[in-house]
Amino acid sequence: MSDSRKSGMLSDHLALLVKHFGVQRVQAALAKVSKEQAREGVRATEPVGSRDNRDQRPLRLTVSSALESIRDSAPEKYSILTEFLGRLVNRQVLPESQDIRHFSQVIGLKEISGKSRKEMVPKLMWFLLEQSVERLKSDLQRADDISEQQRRMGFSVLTDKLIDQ
Amino acid sequence: MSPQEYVKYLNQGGLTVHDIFEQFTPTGTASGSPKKLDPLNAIHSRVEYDDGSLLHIVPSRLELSWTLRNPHDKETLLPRFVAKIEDKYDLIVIDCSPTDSMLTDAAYHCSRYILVPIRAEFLASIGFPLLNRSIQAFRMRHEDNLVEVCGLVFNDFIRGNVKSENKLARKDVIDQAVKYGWYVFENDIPHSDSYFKAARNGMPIAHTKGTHRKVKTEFAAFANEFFPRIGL
Repeated sequence: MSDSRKSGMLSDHLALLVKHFGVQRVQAALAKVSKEQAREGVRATEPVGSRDNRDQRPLRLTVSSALESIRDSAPEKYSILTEFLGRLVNRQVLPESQDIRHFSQVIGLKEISGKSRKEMVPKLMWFLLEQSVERLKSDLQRADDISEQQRRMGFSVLTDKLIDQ
Repeated sequence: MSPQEYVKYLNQGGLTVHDIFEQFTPTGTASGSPKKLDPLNAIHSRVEYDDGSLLHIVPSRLELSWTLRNPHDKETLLPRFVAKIEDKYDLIVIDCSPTDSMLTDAAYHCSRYILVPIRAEFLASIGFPLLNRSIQAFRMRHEDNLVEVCGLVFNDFIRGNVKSENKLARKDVIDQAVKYGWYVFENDIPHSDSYFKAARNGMPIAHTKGTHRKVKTEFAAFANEFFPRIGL
């Protein structure tokens, strides 16, 4: 079986799992499998060069699969989240890891683990997948207001406002 | 709420504590007669977490000081506001200046406990008995009110660099607290620039980048001591 066909089948299976068990349960199961594989030393036998790519691939694939799974059933949500993921990946929004932490707090994701942006993006997306379209519409707008530049403006914004009045 | 969020909130015409106190103040011809304030319109949803916990706030603004120029008959407005929404929350915190005024009376009216953050310095040790007098005077005027001090917490001092003057002031405060029967929290909240950074970023201290683990631990230790003190 070709790689593309395998990948397609995997996507279909994951989409079915997400549909029946929900995003969180599938995510938890994948995390468990991933840990077990690590324990068995599967990764240790792989060439070092391919390891980094493989670390990223399952997570990206599962977020993408989850998005695909809602394409027909929730087209509006799919469209909003796909567009947002694209902007995230291209760093057009929330360009730094601290921006993602900040945004998570704003939208009600209490804890987001991970140090790098790469680790946090899938976790943020999983959370967003669970939200309603109405909430996504208002929450995602707030991402544009978050940046290091905005934070640095800080209290000067406030004093300008107070003095203006 | 970060400064940017706050300014945005004001620009959008968001209501503040000032509006609670001034809701019945006669207005100009342009705005018409005073209108009763709907509490839900004055509450800003800062964040609602995925675990069901939330943080709602009613921001204040500098104009609140103008309320003190005409404080007559306004001290019941805040308690009436709180009475309408208190069943929705586990904890309501009213941040107010320690200077005795209509605003502190309003806060006493709707509070069960008073938490006193205090610095270990000479001026604090002088102002401290005034706070006791303010509370006592209020309780004499309102015998049915149960408001009491849940404790004093020392804050904003330089960790590991306590001067003898600070030690003396701290001892004075503790002696007075014992005299009044007030609890002094075992866990202090020493100075950290991260608190300012957290305010600037509108983030909880535990999630503010660069915050030392020690600072987070100290604050968590205080929180763990504080909540049981007020029955939470």
